[in-house]
Amino acid sequence: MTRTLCVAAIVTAVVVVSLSACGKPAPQPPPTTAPAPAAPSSSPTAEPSPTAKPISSPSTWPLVDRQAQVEAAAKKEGKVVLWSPHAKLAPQFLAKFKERYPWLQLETWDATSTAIVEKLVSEAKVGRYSVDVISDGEQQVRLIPRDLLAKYDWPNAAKWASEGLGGTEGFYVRDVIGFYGPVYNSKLVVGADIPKTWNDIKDPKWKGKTSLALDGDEAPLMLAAMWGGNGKLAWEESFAFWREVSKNTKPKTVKGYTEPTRLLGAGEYALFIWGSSGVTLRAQTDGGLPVAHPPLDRFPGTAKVKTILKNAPHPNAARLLVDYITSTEGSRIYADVVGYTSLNPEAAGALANRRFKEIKVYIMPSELESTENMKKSADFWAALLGI
Amino acid sequence: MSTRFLDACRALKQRGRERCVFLVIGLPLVFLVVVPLFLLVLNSFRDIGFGEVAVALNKFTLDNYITAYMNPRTWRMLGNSIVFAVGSMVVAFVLGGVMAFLAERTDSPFRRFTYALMFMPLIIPGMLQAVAWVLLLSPSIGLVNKLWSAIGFGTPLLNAYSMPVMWWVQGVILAPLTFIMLGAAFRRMDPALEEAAITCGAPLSRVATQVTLKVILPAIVGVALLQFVRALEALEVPLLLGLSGDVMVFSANILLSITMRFPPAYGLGFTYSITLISLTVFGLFVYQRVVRRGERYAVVTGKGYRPRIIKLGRWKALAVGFQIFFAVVAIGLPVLVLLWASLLPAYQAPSMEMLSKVSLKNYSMVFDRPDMLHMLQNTALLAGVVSVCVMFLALLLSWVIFHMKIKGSGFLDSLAFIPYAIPSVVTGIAFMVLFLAFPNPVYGTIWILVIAYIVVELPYGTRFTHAGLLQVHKEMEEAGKISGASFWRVFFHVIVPIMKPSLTGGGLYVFIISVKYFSIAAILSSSQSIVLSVQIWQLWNEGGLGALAALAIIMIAGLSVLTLLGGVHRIERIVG
Repeated sequence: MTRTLCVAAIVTAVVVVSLSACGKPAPQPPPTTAPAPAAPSSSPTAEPSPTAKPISSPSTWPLVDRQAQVEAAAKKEGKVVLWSPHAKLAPQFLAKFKERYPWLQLETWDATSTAIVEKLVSEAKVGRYSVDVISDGEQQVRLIPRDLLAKYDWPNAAKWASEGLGGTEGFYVRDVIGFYGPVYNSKLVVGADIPKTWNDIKDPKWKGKTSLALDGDEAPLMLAAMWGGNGKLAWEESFAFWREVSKNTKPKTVKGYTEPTRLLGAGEYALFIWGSSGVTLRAQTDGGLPVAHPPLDRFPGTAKVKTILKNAPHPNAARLLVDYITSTEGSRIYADVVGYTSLNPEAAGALANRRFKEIKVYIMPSELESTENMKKSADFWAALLGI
Repeated sequence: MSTRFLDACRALKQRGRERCVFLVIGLPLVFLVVVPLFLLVLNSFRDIGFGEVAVALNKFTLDNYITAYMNPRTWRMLGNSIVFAVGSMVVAFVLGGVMAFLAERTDSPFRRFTYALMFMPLIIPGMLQAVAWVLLLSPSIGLVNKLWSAIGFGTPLLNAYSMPVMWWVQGVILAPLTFIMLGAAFRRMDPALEEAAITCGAPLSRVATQVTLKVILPAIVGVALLQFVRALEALEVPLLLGLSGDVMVFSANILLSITMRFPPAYGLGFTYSITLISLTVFGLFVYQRVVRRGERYAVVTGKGYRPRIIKLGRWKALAVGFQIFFAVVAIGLPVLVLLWASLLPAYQAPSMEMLSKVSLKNYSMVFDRPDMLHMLQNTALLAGVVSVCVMFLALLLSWVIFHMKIKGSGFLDSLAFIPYAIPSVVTGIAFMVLFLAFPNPVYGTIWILVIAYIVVELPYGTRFTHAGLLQVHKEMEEAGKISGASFWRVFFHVIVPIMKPSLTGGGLYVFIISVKYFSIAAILSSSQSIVLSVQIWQLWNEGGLGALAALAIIMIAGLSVLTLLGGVHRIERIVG
């Protein structure tokens, strides 16, 4: 009987291999309507596939007609699917969107960036497409060479994209930025003890009073990029900094950003060495916690982007969603719920824009977020934390 | 001649039916267990990135094994994992075992409340329990340590970021499983053996060690195996307490390799998983050695019996003291901290200033979800179907293994147990790849979660049913067969009623675990099949401790109301 089961196991494996090789793709969604000439790509990381279909609106349409046409098509589609790690969008932002388009059903799937990319790529390999819009970090540029993103003209983002901040490639738009760096407990750390420079962070006086996030594996890369400048990477400077921080302050290793920031506010540590601006802002506003970013000369940051999938099952509804997210009202609400700084100049009243007005942020160029650089950074981080 | 021929035909028919049952269980298991396992092993030898976990024969490398096992830290991590798992298992045994014994076999006065008490650690999310202990025992802000220093002691009483506290917290989390499994075994015990020993003049301590313990040995070994592997795979305590105490374990490292770094190091994570699976297979080997002569543990026979209640006498005070200790220290303290945290926008130590900030905002946040009803429906459907299917399959499997004794059934048992050792996130990815490999209507719906959950939770079910069935003598079903009952009639009218304690206890446990299981849902759920565990993760991310604490308090309150209304007596009766 054991032999029977072993044979069955082998047969099953062979069947799965065969099915993997010749699995019938799921039916393709209908092509996007009203294609227009694609905008030239300037993505430094990847050449877009020549087969990528643009989903922009004919520029000859008056805006009112465009909106009416897209809404009519979206009504037929009936729903739009958004994947994002920013779950907080669901109750607040999405309620506003629903107010505007009550006839459109909005479905969300919340997952980590890794899970989103893994699922998307795996599904696309067998021709399955279940998502319309993704809202996540700039690692989505990895989806361009895989021919998964659609080009779009991002009409509402034109006003800031022209300043070189918005991502003019057409495959995605940068709409908010978050920055990373030290956060301190403003009750425990006062006056002259507040760090003024990055060198102050590695002072041995912090020994036993700091924490470092396990999942902050991009930290070495971000500091290398900021200190290298002009697209260069000062790896050695960054590595040396982190080694000294680890040696001098003996930080507690923690997981994530949210809970460590809240424990920082409760007094568990004095300094959380690699916090996120969005989490800090939410801890200040929602939680009323005494946490703040110190007045360092600058902080490294990354942009968060929105993308429409090339084979989005509901392309017109997707346009409505991204147009709303990048509108003045949508930008402001979205920036506030995630706690990031909006790039939309008309949303300058967003909380993070006001709260972090004095902080200078170096936005890391997306081409530096290559797989090779991120792996180098993650490997160093793992070794630093003794994993 | 013709009678012998007919008998031979009947035996052949019976054998054929048994083989048929064997294959009906075996083949889906082969498909659903071997394929993910094969994917895991194969891909541990590949250098892969996003969307490349597959049955493919390219990108081969030994780098993952060299990186993992040439690193001395890996061996330290292995030591940490084993020490953590064994310590947690011991704590869970002491807490859950003693509570089960007091509830099932003694006249302890609080035994009726024990069920409600023991279900509380089960319904509180593990990450919340771990954080609660940080807030109690952190050397900087821990309330217990602050109180300790306030009464004049210089150094903290306990350090939350130490191995003994990790054992304690994980032990409390695991104690309900010990309680339910051993409770079912105690309840099924025929007191005749104990009474015989007492009549022969054996003291109570000798009766306990030489009779009681030996009779429930399958349950003890089954629980030990489950607890050991569960602690090896545990994430919350190692991540929230272990990391800060420099105690890195395999499970945390696998999670880090696969989900917390970008791009993920799938190959490395899979390689580490191989070690976990090897440890589990070793544990399973020990288990199978212990129970290989199952008939020795059969105490439920055709003869009627009623479990004997032991009068505690002067030991009653000690028993009550233990129950109060468990209620106050293991449950009460963390629940109180969580209650306080649930009333604040963000946790701060209790003070008059913080009292003014108390509100119910976190509670409204829990209910203020647009898709709450849909999510609860999905969760109820998922947990209900999974718990029924798991216990049915588990009982069938146990029957095949211990009563039919078909050759190869040990292999089937190992096969059914292995998913327990595969890290959930790996199982999630494997199922995604598997169900994307061929056209099917299941992918993207709640049913793919149902199938995946059945496979990963079958090991829980089989430990319950194995332990139960080993106590049931074959004469029960033989009597049915002699009376002319069919295969399924014997199964449903003889085996199922006798196994009710194990089936209901196991089913309840699987139901609650299904509600909380996150890692698989995180990969396999879709916008249409969101379940409560994903919601818990969302609350944790966006609301931090407060919102999740509010959810836990609501669940605890529900359970307490049930207790007051007498519902738990009903649960107790069902389980019993």
